[in-house]
Formats: sequence, structure tokens, C-alpha cells
Amino acid sequence: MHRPDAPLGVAVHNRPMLALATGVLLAGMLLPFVAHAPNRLVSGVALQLWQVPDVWSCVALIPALPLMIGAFLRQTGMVLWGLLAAAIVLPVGLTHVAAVSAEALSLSAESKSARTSLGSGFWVMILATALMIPDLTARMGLSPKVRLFVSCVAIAPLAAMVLLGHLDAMSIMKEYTNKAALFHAALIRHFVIVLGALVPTLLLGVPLGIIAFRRPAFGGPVLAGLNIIQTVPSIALFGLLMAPLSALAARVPLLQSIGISGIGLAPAIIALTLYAMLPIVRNTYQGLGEVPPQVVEAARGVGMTPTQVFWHVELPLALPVFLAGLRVTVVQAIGLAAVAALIGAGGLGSIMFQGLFANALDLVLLGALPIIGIAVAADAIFNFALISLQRTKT
Amino acid sequence: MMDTMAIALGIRDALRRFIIGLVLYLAILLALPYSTPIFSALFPQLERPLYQQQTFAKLVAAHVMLVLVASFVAMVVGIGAGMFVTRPRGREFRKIFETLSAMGQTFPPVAVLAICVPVIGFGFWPAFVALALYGVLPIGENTVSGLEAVSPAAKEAADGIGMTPIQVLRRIELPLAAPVILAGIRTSVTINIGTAAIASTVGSVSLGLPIIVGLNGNNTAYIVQGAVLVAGLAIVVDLGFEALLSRLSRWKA
Amino acid sequence: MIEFRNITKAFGETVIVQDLNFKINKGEFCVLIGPSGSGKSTILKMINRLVEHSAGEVLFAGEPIRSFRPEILRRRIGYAIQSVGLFPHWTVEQNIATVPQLLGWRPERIAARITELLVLLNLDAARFRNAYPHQLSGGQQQRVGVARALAADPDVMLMDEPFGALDPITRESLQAELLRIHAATGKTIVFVTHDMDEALRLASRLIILEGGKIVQSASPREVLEAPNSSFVREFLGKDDYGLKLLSLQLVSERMKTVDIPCSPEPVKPDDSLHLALSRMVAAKANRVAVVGPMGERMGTLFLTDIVT
Repeated sequence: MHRPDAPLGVAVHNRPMLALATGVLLAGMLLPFVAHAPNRLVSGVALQLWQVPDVWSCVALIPALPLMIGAFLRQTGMVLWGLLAAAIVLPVGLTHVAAVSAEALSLSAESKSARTSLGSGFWVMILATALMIPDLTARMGLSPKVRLFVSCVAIAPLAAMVLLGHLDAMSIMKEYTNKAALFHAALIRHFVIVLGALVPTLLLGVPLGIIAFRRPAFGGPVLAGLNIIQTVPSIALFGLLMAPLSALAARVPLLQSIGISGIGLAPAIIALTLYAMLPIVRNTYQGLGEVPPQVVEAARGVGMTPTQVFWHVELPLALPVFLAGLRVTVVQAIGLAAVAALIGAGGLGSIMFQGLFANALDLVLLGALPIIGIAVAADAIFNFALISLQRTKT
Repeated sequence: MMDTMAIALGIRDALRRFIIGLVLYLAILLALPYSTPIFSALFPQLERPLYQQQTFAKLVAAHVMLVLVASFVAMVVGIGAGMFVTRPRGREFRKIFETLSAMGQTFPPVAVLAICVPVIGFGFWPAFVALALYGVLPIGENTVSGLEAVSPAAKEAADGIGMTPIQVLRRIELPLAAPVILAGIRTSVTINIGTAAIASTVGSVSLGLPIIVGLNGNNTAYIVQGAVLVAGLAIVVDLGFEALLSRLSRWKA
Repeated sequence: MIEFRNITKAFGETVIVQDLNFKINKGEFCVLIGPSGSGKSTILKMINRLVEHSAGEVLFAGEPIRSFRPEILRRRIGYAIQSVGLFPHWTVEQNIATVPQLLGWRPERIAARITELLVLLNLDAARFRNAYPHQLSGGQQQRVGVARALAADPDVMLMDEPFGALDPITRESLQAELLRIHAATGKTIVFVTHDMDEALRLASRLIILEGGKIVQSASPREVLEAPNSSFVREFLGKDDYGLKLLSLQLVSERMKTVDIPCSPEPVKPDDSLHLALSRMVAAKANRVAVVGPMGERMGTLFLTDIVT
């Protein structure tokens, strides 16, 4: 049994917070905060938070103390708001210290190619605080929209520091400065691949889902087939498409002239479309299936035509399930587009794999971190849309 | 009676499909080393149309081993965490667990794999860590939703009848949640088979190797050979899960 | 068998039950009845420690229940609930075998016990033994639920609105069977319901609760003849109160040993006055013949004698 009042008079009122704050303090004290290397080829020296050339570095850890103490207090509204504030300030301070140290380290280094990268301690502390915030907002009983807003407030200062150049002395940002043009082209290409797959998916998948719902005899095999495709790993599907496509392009020069061949954009978009079909078709089908039959019957009963029933009743009621499918599709496509770089489709994946093949780790991060960022952002946008839909429902 | 038979037939059907798939896959695997004539006919421009750096059997074994070990760790951690946050003492950690699992699953697996390299280095370990980390999430999530879906009446009856909390978990909750947990393991393993193939780019040995070598050397035959084996493996494993799932859910309507 | 001494139960600030004292004797069929929120389910669950009491002492077979490990205590007490709670992944046989298995009975003994219970509850062993719960009707499921509660031959059975979700016909037949089982086994039964008709039919003693306090505790007949408060009277049902009273009184109490021709279907001395009245109304007559077990004439019951 959980007893709020322990015999000693000291009681933990928020065990997750205690665990996370302890994690932050331990990571801050024990794990490397940044790594510094005099040039790109030499492996770096790990520096703890208290070793970095910033006298105030340990001050950044101070918000972890109220977080820890807060776990022992009764979780009233005031306490929770205080904890939330501390959890938002903590990563800002840490990022600032990292930026200042990187600057100092690069000034003191003899070569311009000296690089400072973030260490595991930094990432663990950021992750731990990132987990605190949703827990706190849930305890406060905030509405989903306000919770999302709080998350944005927490991310905003970090994004601002990146965008305003405060972190330019970090190695990943240096890498970005060196490859800015390449990076932007890759970023745009990444979106092109994802959108290029999304448009045909929606044009084909939604009607297919509707037909599958109306004609189950047709829907069963279609869904089974799409299920098998979804099972096939992306890299294999790319590979399997390459051979027939290049053969086709070799036979039909016209196709080649419009850019279709075994490698590049065409097989990437075809494969991504095939993957994206399953969640779209399935969720269109399931969404329509979840519309209560009595509602449809009532709509017919008041004299709506089948078209009106579809547009005014079935479509709005199926929308949340459909959007959930679209969310899976988009998040999945952003990741798969990265794999498509292997068959020469370009995009952020190409930067990432270039880094992997050349053992240039900052380049790997320059490719991988934005991919994650875009996926998380897309997910958050869909989350917001779904929350808004639920609002209008009740 | 009728539906009992139908279920039994369903199990047998799924099992038969799995066995046929497995036999077919092994046949392809055994025949592939002798398929040079076919590939030289299909790709006449290639000098060496058959991948021979490693034997295919070795690649399949390495691939399966990587997925197996990583998925096993993911299962232990995922099911353990899922059980913990649904017990009275761990309930407080539920929200954090959900946040972690929702956030983590938006991370593309290939990006997780890439990020493991700066932290861990090249070879087997970054692949293992990425697969295990990523694999935990769907398993943990499904463990929680499976355990939550167990009817409160069955739990109350089990308590009231005199089962210890551990007996309730082991005899009632886990068996009833098993189909959902297994679905999570299936998702996790399916993703991991794909990620393990890509792991050839971070220097671990897997069926992705012929594909990567083929892509770098413009050898489409290598790519096809690797792709067929990866795709086949994924499909056969999926059929195996299907058979297992229909067996585990035979008490259902 | 069971004794509550100064029991108080509070969830946080809300007090559910305050300073409760009562005793349930061996072999009693004790029905706890009250409106929702009266604490009846909480009281029941305090007996097998599914709910822990906050203050006071509950005795089971003379010993405080806190002196048992909860599991050990619960294995000695049968438990059946409204939603049945059969384990869906186990067959009927495995469900019934649960407690005997927990107690470490030998397989042959368990198998024999299952057969015995299936017969006791009128379930066709050949058909149901290996069926899964979802293949049974609601009534059959509850029969299995009761069988499971009885499996290890517990001294006491706790039943929390076990027939609440069943249709009236199934409910009546299960009530009849429970009465038969109670008569045959002499088990102590503690039964929770909010249905007064069910309570009056089953109970050897009624405990009427309101707001966590006992309002009246007596046999159904005593309660009906002398409800001790307006709450009890209202709870008995204002409009058909008289009819309920009739259903607990026997023909033998009012019949006269005269032999005159009567038109309705005859009644037996141990039938209820309720039945006798019904026969008279149906036949538009003001008297009914009373016959013995062999059909021999014993007397006559007059309408005027029922109401005086």
C-alpha cells in the first residue's frame, strides 16, 4: 500500500520527479557534458560539467535542486507551477553553458578545425527534463491544448538559441555553416520526397479505402496485400523495385527522359507510396466502419441522399480515425525518406549516410537530428489537429 | 462446438502458411548459391552476378541473431516496464512511460541507428543498442494496453478467490494480455528486421550487406539477392507471429 | 461465523460505514440490502479483505481477519460477483478448479469435485466441462461462477449482487437453486442486493442499511410485519407492501378445516397466501380448497380470512 505519510515525517509525494531530478544531478556530475577535439580526425576529450571553461557552469544545475526538493512537497498548484518553471529553465541554462564553453574552447584551440560536441550528460539531462514537463502538466490537470502550449514554451528558447546563432561554436553548427547550401537543398528534397509520396497516396488510398468499406469482398484482399508490403523492410522494397524499374527505363526511353530509372526519386516515391497506402486505406476503412449504423440509418431516414450521407455524416465522423492514419503515414514517410537516400533519392538521409560512410560523426548528426525534429514536429501538428477535432465533438 | 472447430482450423491454417513459407524460404536460401546462371541471364552486363563475399546462410544467421538478441532484451525490458507501471507501486510512472514511448516511436528507426554511432562507434553494438532501444517501445506500450484491457471483473474475482498478486498477474493478467503483447513484439520485430538490414551501413553484418555493396558497386543482382532474402525473412517471421497469435487467442470468440 | 465489532470505513475524508456491529451465525442466509451508497458492497468486501476496514475488528470463525494472510482467508470464503468474472482464457473446468488448485488438491479429487458441482448446478458436464466462458449464456456463466465459489467447499459464501445482470426468468431459477443449495449444504451465505423481492425470497435474515448504518436487522417476516421506520416501510415498497406480506405467510396459518366445494385450482398448506389469493382472483372465487400432498382434502381458505 502506498502511504502518503511515512513515519519519519519525510514523504515522497512525486516519485517520478524524484527519480528524474536525481537522474539530472547524477548525469550532470558523472557523465561528460561536452567533448572537445583539436581537429576533425582526433577523437575528443570528454569534459564534465565542472571542467568546462565557464566558471558559472555549475549554476546551470541549480534548478535541479528545487526539482528534487519539490518531490518531497505536497503537490499543490503552487508547487507544480514552481516545478514546471524550474523544468523549463534547466535546459535553457544547460544549453547556454554548452554554447559558452564551445566558444571558449574554440578560441583557445590553435586550429580552426577544433570541434566541441555535446556529450551524453547533456543529452540525458535534456531527456530527463523533457519527460518531467508532460508529467507535471498532467498532474496540474491542464487541458490538452494548454499542455501542448506549455511544451512549445519550453522548446521556444532552445530553438531561438539555435536560430540566433548562439550555438554556432558547436561542432554540429559549424558543420551546418560549412554545408549550408547542401543542407538546405537536402531539406527541401526531403520534403519533396515525402510530399511526392503523400499526394498519390491520398489520391489512391482514400478512394480505395472507401471502396474496401463498401465492398468487403474487395477490401479483404487489398488490405491483406498492403499488409504484406508493410511487412517488407524498406531497404528491401527499394531494392526489389530497382531492378524492374531500371529494366523498364532501359526498354522505354520515354520513361527515362522524364526521370524514371532504377535509382533516384522515382523508386523512392513509388516505394514510399506503397508503404503509405496501408495506414491510409486501413484507417479510411476503419473510420467508416466506426460510424454507428444507427446514425447512418437516421440520416437516411430524414431524407438525405447517399452523397449527402457521405459528406455530412460519414466523412466527419470518420475523420479522427483517418487523421490518425495520416499521422502514422507522415511520420513513417519522414523516416523512410531517409532510407531512400541509399538509392540516390537525396534528402537529409544522404547527409546522414555520407557522414556514416566517411566516419564524420557531426555530419551524421546534422542529417539525423533534423529528421527526428521534423518527425516529432509533424507528430505534434497532427496531435494538435486531433485535439482540436475532439474539442468540436464534445 | 462448431466455432471450436473453426478456431482449430484457423490455427492450423496459420500454422500451415507459416510452415510453407519457412520451407520456401529455406529452399531459396539453399538454391541461391547455385543460381549464377539465372542472374547472369538476367543481368548479362555484370561480371560477377552472385554475391560471394559471405555465404548467404551466414548473413541470414547473423541477421537473425542480431534481431533475436536485441528483441529479447527489448522484450524483457518492455514487458517488465509495462508490468511495473500497471502495478499500484509503479502507477505514478505511467505518464512518463507513455510520454517516452509516444515520443520515441515518432523517432525514425534509421535516425536512432545513426545517432548510436557517435555514441557507441561502428559495428555490432550500435545496431544492437538501436534495435533494442527502439524495440522496447511498442512492446512496452502494448504490454500496458493489454494489461489495462483485462476485465476488472476477472481481476476482482481472482483477488476475491484468494490468488496472490503474483498469481493474478501470472495466471490471469498476462495470459489475457498475451495476444496484445505479442502484437507489440510482432511490430517490434518487424521494424527490427528492417533496421538490422540498414545496420550494414554502420558496419554490422546482416542481410543488408549485399544490398549496400550492390548499391555502392552498381550491382543490381547483389541488391536483388539481398532484398529477396530480407523481404522473405520478414514475411516468414510475420507468418510465424500470425500462427502464434491465433494459437494464443483461441479462447476468444 | 462472522462478527463486525465497531467497524468504521473511510475513503480519505468520506466515511462509508461508521461504528458497525453485527454478527452472522453459522448457516444463516444473511442478505445485506439498501439503496446504492448505503455501504452494502463495502461491508461485504471487508469480510474477505478486498476492502480493508479503517477501525474496529472483523472476526471470522472467532479470529480477527487481520490474523490471516488475505489470500489464505479468501480461499476459505467463496466469492461470486454480479459481472461473474469468469477467466475467459480458461475452460469451465479450469475456472471451477481454481481454488482447489490454489489449495493444492490432488487432480482426481478436483475432477470429482467438478463433476459434483456441475450436477449440483444443473450444468450438463459433457457439454460444458470443456467450454470457454464466451460460449455460455449469461445464466450459465453465473452458474459456473457460483460453482467456482463453492468449489473448495468454503464455510462462507459472499455474493455481491450475483444475479443482478440476469433476466427475470433466469434470475428466479437461480434463486431457487441457491435456496436449494443453502438448504442442502447449510453454508453461511452473505448476499448483497438492492432488489427487495430477491431479498425477501432468499434471506433467513435481512440487514437493511442506509448511509452505512444498520436500520433494521431481522427475519424477512419480522421486517414485513413490523418495519421499524418509514425508511424501511418505503423501501419495502408502499404499493405492494401488502402483497409482499402475503407471500411470506402460509396457507396453513389461515385455513379452516371445512370442506365445501371450491372452483379454483387447490393450494397446499405450505403455499403462500400470495399464491392462494392469486388463484382466487384468477377464478373469480372467494375461497380455495386446501389439499395435502396426496391430494386429500384438508380444508378451505376464505378470502376474508386472508385480510383479517
